[in-house]
Amino acid sequence: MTAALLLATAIAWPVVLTAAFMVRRLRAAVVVLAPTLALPALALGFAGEPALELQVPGLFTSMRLGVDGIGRAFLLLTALLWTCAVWHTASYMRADPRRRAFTGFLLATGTGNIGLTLVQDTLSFYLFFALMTFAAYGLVVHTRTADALRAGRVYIVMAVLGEALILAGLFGITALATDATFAAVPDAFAVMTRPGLVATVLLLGFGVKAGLVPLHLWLPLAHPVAPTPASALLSGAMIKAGVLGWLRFVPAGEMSFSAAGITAMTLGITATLAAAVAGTLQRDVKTVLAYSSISQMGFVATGFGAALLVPTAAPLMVLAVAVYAVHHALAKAALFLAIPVAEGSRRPLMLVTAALPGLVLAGAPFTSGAMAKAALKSALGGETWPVPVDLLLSVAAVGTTLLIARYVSLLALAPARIPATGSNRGGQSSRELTVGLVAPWALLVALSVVGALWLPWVLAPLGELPLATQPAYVAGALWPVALGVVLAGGALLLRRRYPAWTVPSVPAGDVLAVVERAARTLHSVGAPLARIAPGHAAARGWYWLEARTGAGLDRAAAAYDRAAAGPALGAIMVILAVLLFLALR
Amino acid sequence: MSDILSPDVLLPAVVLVPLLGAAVAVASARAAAATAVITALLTAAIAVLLGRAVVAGGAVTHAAGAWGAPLGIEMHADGVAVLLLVVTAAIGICITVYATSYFRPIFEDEEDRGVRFFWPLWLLIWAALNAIFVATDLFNLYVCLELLTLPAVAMVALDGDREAVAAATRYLLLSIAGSLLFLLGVAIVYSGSGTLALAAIRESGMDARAAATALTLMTTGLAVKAALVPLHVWLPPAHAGAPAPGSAVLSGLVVKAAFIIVLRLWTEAFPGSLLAPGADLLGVLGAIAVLWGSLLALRQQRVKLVIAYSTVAQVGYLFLVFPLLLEAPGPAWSGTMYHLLSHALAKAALFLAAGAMLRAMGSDRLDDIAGVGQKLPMTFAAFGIAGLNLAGMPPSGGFIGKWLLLTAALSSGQWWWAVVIAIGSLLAAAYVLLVLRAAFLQPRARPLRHQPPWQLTAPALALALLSVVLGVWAEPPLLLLGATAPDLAP
Amino acid sequence: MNLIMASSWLPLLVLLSSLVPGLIIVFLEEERVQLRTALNITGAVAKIVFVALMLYGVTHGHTYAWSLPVMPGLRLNLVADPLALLFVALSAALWLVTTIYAIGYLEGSPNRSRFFAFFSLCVTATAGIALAGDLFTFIVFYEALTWATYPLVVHRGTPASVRAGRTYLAYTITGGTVLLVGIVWLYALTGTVTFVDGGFVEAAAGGAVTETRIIFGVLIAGLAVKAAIVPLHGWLPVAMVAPAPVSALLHAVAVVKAGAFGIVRILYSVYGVEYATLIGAAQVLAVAAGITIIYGSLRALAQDDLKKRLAYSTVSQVSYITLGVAIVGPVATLGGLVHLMHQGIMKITLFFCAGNLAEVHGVKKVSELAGAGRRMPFTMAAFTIAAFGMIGLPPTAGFISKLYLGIGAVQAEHTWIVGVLVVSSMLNAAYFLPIVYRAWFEDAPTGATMGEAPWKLLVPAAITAALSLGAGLFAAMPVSPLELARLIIQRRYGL
Repeated sequence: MTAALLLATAIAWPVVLTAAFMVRRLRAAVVVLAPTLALPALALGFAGEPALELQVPGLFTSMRLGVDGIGRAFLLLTALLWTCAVWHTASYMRADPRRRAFTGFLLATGTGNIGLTLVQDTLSFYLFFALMTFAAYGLVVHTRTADALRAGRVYIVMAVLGEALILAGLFGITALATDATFAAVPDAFAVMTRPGLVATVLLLGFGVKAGLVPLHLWLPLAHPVAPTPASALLSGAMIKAGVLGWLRFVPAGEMSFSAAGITAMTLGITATLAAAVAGTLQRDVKTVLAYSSISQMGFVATGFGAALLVPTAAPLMVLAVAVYAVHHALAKAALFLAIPVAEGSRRPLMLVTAALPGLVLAGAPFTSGAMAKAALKSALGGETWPVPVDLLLSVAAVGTTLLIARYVSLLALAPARIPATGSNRGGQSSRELTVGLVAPWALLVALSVVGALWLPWVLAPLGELPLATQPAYVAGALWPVALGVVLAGGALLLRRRYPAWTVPSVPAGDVLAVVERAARTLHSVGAPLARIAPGHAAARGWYWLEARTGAGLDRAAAAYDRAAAGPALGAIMVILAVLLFLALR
Repeated sequence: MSDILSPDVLLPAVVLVPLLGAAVAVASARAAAATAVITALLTAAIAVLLGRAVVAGGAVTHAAGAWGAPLGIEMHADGVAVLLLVVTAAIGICITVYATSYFRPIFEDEEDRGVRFFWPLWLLIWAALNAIFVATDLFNLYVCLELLTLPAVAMVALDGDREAVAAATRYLLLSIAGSLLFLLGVAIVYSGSGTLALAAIRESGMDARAAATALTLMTTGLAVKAALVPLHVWLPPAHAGAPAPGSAVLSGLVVKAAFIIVLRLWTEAFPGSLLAPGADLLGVLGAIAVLWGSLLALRQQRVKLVIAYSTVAQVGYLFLVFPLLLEAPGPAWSGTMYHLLSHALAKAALFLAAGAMLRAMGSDRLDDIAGVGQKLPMTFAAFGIAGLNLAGMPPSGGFIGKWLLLTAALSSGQWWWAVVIAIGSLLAAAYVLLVLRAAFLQPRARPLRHQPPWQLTAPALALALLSVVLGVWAEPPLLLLGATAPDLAP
Repeated sequence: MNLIMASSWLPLLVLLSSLVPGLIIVFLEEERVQLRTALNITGAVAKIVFVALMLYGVTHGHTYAWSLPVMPGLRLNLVADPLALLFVALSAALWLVTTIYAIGYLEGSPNRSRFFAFFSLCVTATAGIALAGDLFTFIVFYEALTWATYPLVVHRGTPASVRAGRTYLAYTITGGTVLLVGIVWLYALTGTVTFVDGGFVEAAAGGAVTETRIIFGVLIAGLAVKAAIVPLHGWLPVAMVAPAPVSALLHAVAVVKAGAFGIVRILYSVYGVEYATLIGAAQVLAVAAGITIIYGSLRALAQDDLKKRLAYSTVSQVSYITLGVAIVGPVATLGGLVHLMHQGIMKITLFFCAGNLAEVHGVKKVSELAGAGRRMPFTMAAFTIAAFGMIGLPPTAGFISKLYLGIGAVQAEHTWIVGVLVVSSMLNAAYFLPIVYRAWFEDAPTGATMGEAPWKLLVPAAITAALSLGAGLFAAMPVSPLELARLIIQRRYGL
């Protein structure tokens, strides 16, 4: 009962806050209360036993709430991140004139993000997912700079594309499902004529949010321009909503989705490598992190793809995916929140601390990262793949390490050298380090570093995590990181030695330029096509005819009148005479 | 008391009362208006009583001077006849009320506008119309037709200005020619069948070729008077030139009288002829009339001319009955008659409204009446309602008529007539709108010459509303019509 | 209560509740504002009460019917079956808000008596169309609607509006006449015009497939004009010169809806979707609707004039209704029917807001909307809700419609329709989101007038916006449009 109450509160509280924010008089109070947004959810995440169900008939399409194994993991990471990030925002935004509006969008976005981890039916999931997606636009364009608006445009276009694809998938499922619950999804797929198509559509639809290459275009643009806490949430929590979407809507393990699986794996592996390269060559610290996220999501996609391909491997894969999601969320959020802190102080200790989550991310031994990679590899190990997946993933890990190195080096630079972005507007060179600014970061760092200790407990319902302490795993985890560090050091030395050399840079959003050009051409072609208005043809034709023939008609009529008045008489008389003759003959 | 209400009194009375009124009106110009009003009310009352009698006890017949047909004057009123009498009476009352004010000079400079002659002419026409509706033999029909035509021509010339006289002359010449043709046809029939009573002719089994000749002659003659294209040339100038109440009578009733005679000839005297190609020819001419008349109406610049050309088009509808009558007798017959009745009401309303505009603005040119809608709400309301009737828009008698005619065309598989009807009603809507949009244009500075009194606005509105009543309360009249549908068995 | 339940006069009363005020108002002088307002509101409220009573009765299995003999064999039949109620409830509810809005909108402008008179006649005709129990009654009110609307379209009396009026009539009268021919033809063929759940054509004339095909084409061609199906949609964007309340009426309550409702009737009560599909007519119709949906959205993209953009969006949105009923299967029909209501409340909100913008700040173009959210927050909030609804985002009403349409399409295995829905959703977003963006994320030009609309203009928008949200958010509630539509489906498919 209390659990049910907690569940209700967890979802109701954000809604209440958001609604209250709409009322001008309450707004100030709400802004103060904002950090409590995710606290009930957090409590639920720790307290709530799985398989808790609660139905709200009448609301929307009779909404179902609940916490299950997967849901719990995502609920926890979401709640944690939101608590820390909003808390952080309070001091981060102190100087910002648009602070309130930002809080408003945070609340709405948070409501969506928390809500989607708590619902147990596809339609409500879509509801909260959409809320999150569209509210987050306000976070992206917060600074209203040209970059921000462009990023926002790209974000919203991609988002709409994603929503549309998900909608299509939703039709496919709901049409055949007995009810809207997630439980009914597998049966729906079982009776589909083309389950593969639906799965692929959903993979791509949620892929937009999950930064699946090539649908990742918005990420590298949105992160740098958004205020740092927002970036942390985008990269940490909201991306994971896409992953949760995958797990909820596509029943991996129930059947084999070859097309979707192969797509996911190919794109995933490509992402892990390409994103690492593109990210290393970035100039903006937040863009670097954005690419790191894309690369990490590549791992997740690979895992999920494998699960789609090999139903037998699915349980392990799902576990791996989950652990990846959680630990990446914590680490990435920590890395982002470090940036404002670094703007306050660059003491080595701080930099080292800031780097720690990076090592976790790279999968240094005994970290949750290593654990995640181990899970992924052991799951993949069961199968034989056309390409050396194992090796490729290790190479990707090297890339991750390099990314982190790049991150640290950029972090170490003076703020003046950091391109003006949302994080330090108006060339504001340094921040005062308040508790509100540092504490959330520190907390996240801590949680991420010791993740190996508590993640197994979080994910227990999903299965036993492989111990990452066996020598094989340790070695496998160690060499990529080591290699990465060596390479990074080498690069640093070269740079010292030959300052003239300039690192070639990739434009943020890499292939976006191409896409944009394509879109423009498409529009210039399509616009004229849309301008045909067949409807008026008839009317216009009539007016044309009237204009041309009207006068003629008048003349004809007049002529006939003149003629008929006289000759018609004559004609009638003639007829008369003839008939007279005929009749009297 | 009861025998005063007996058909033997009512039937002659419905003709004689207006005739008497006309005589009185001639005798004393001063009492003319009063006489006319009284006569109108009396005649209307008689018509209604007659109607009641027929509804109650079926068709009634009265042989004047106790000689029956073929020698004497026999009067016969069936469902159709009483409907025509009643509708004519309704129009008659409205026109009479209207005329009491219409001719009143607005300014001193205006000379007396021929009201002295209007009253007798109008009552004479009324008498002739009633006589035609109840006549049963060709001779009476011929006489009444002449009684109808001559005052009608005079009515056109009433305004006395040059083009009115010209129009009247043209009307006179053509209708005399028509009369001659008709008379000749009558002569042939008499020589061929030895009788003039319509029913008797049918039994007489006269020589087919003579019959065909006679029918052709009479139809042609009447087609002139009914202004069937291509013999319509006299109508627009005449109906547009006459004073408004006159135009209302001419367009609403006089033309119809000629058509009624044609219809009765083809159905009562020579039903076999419906098989002849002549029936289709009449249909084709009707179709041409619908299109030609409507198109020309669209081209007119004066309201009264628009309405006049619309008469040419609407008469065309009536002649569509001939090709339809055999395959779909029921709907074709009642549809045509219903269209005739509601068009009579609507067309009278239109001309009365147009007259009100003319009086109010001193002109009925379309650009002169632009924007006066707000100043003449009643008049434009009347025009609008009556106009929608012409376009066959529900709820109106025109719609019922159109529905029945379409049913006739489509159920007999002659869809092409349906197409004509549809296009015709579209064009009708178009030319009605031509006038109506003037009502909605932003008011101009141009002031009213004078605000028309109720006598000029109420009658038009009343007639328009009557035509709507015909559209909602259609079952009784239709049953009456159906009961008297002609028996076409040869 | 039982008396009222059983009273067959209710359908007539629904009509009279707007007819009588209308006829009285015709003869009111311009200055009698109080009386006129009183008449309007009383009539509107009365109508809602009557409709509510019938709603109660019908949901309890009662059917109301009133009829008047017109011609031998043909009567004026007013029947309140669930489908009729769906439409009449919509028009009654929206009439009240639109009246309030119009009173506020036209304050102090000329010819208000004429306006409100025809306004009431317009709604009367609509109610008649909704309650029509056969095609004869339907065409009577359908044509009446055409002419009752004309004075409203040309109300401003400017040459532009008179031209628009001409275009409007040119389209609608032609459509009406074609429809009439179709109806009479069907009557001549089957000998009946009375609506029957599931259709009567197959039973009456199933043999004459070719003829029924042609007649179907004629009927739909006639209705497609008002339903604004491409290529017969041309009048709709032109007619937007009319005052805002009229646009609201045209797009949401009366005219366009009448066309769509007519198509629903043809498919649902005359031919029956199954038979229409059997003779291949429904598929063609569905394709036409699909084309219209995409085409309308594409045209909307290009419009800078706000009302024009909304007009083209109507072209696109209304065809969802057609699309829904043209697909065999309960769910698709459900989607189409519920959209009949949803589109109404959402689109009327948009037009109210557009009217407010034009009336208060003279903002008529999308390009002038910068900072509109600051300038009139409540209006734009309402607009945003409705716009999201049009895009089909949860939890708005639009999502519910789209969802059931999509499900129906999948169940009928018309994957291409899913494609149409998805693409159109994206296009809707493409032409609505920029408006929302300008309003909320751009700053108002310097020296822009600030200030919210007067309450008479604001309250209606707020109400309909709330409805647009509530109809989706509480779709599973027993009183929601969805449930009413479901009632219809259950009657038809005996679910």
